[in-house]
Amino acid sequence: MTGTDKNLEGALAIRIAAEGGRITGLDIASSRPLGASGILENRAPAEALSILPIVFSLCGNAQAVCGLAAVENAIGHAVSPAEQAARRVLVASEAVGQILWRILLDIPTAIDKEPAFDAVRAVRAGLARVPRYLVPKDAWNRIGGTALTINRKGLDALVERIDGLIAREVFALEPGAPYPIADIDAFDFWMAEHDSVPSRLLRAVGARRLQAFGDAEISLMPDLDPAAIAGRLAADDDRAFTARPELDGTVYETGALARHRDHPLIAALAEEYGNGLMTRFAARIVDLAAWQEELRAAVAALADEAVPPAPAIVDGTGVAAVETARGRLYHHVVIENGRVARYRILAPTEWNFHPQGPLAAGLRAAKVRDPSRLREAAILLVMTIDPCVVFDMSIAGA
Amino acid sequence: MCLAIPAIVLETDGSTALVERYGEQLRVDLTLLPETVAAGDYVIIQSRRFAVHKVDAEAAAESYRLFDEMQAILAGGEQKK
Repeated sequence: MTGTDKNLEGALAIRIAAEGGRITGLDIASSRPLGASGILENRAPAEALSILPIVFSLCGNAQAVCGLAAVENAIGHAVSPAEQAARRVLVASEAVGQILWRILLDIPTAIDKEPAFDAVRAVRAGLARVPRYLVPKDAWNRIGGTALTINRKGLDALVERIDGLIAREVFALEPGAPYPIADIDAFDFWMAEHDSVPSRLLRAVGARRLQAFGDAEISLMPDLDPAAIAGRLAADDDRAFTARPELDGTVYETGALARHRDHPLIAALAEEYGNGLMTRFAARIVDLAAWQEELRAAVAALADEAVPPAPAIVDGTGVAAVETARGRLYHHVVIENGRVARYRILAPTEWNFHPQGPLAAGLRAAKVRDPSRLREAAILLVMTIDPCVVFDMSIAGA
Repeated sequence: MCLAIPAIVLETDGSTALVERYGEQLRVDLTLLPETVAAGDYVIIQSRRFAVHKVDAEAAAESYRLFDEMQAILAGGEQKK
């Protein structure tokens, strides 16, 4: 990376060699700028945290919330339940927007299906107002919390609008109807009989016999002890762990499938298709419903609050984990002499797109009957696991 | 960890725009952008395909200052304060 690098954001390069519809060679390389968190170092913690939502776009709220929690952990400060609820609203609403973007826009485009632009635009416009519904005039990302003036009417209307939009656009159902994710029969019936962007996409996956594409031996991330991650991040001088994380040699998958492995629909689909495309896509839909629930619960827990006194910044080390649309995000901070001496960010993409991670395992095990479908299937697998940067895929052979 | 690097609009036909950031030109879709844009405006791009929101010149300048600093750090240079 140089001072005039044209692609500061970085990307994933996925190079595949194939023969007869089977993948015979694979290389996954990331040019993501893992040293970017260096921008947060040598600053006062408050200044560092004000930078997070400016430089990180996709999951800016989750990054800011994780940063706040890491700094508050370092200084030994606990925020109020109302502040926690406000942060949950910011993270959940952002996750809903991210999942809808993927399943209504990116994934259909990848297999030449019509995306739902209007729905994504409407959701984004609504979600952009969320911070102002919580903190009308000030920045919300303050260490120790900020004054909360809840616009409940605005939030309730937004939640209702999002619920209605998801019912119509994702499920082709009337608002308020139960989602067809209780079991495999309900899901199969919905897929066959209801016409939405996701149901059309899943029918196409079925018609092309790609339901089990990508099924492989993987390790889904359990509830990890944050101290284990903190220890590795604290020792990560060369950023080798942030680039290619593993714990005791295991590269975990984090995200929708890991979170919902025990959901009845996901467990039933896994019996039939393993962790192939159908199970993975269904997990994204189950995850969307779960984030909606989380958003409703967090909105219900909100309360007005006067601005709390700013906590004293003391030296210490802190770690925080936040679940995001793409998986678990960790921040680790060391404060020395009142300034950020060290900052590490471990993003879900580094687990999921690790050269020995779930995408790699899925691609290595994959096989298609029609070699001309391999590219499309591989792209669907990447998008369903969902990196947080653009990717470039090349396939040599077929 | 997608970065929100602002891009300046060089030209637009109303539905797409040619934008530039750090010397790289991209043709982006304006379908998801809630505001209208004209040449000289700054936008944030997502997935290298879509302009997703507009930022004012002052905010763009602040972002560029931070990204310049980030590039210097990534290049192994000293952090300028």
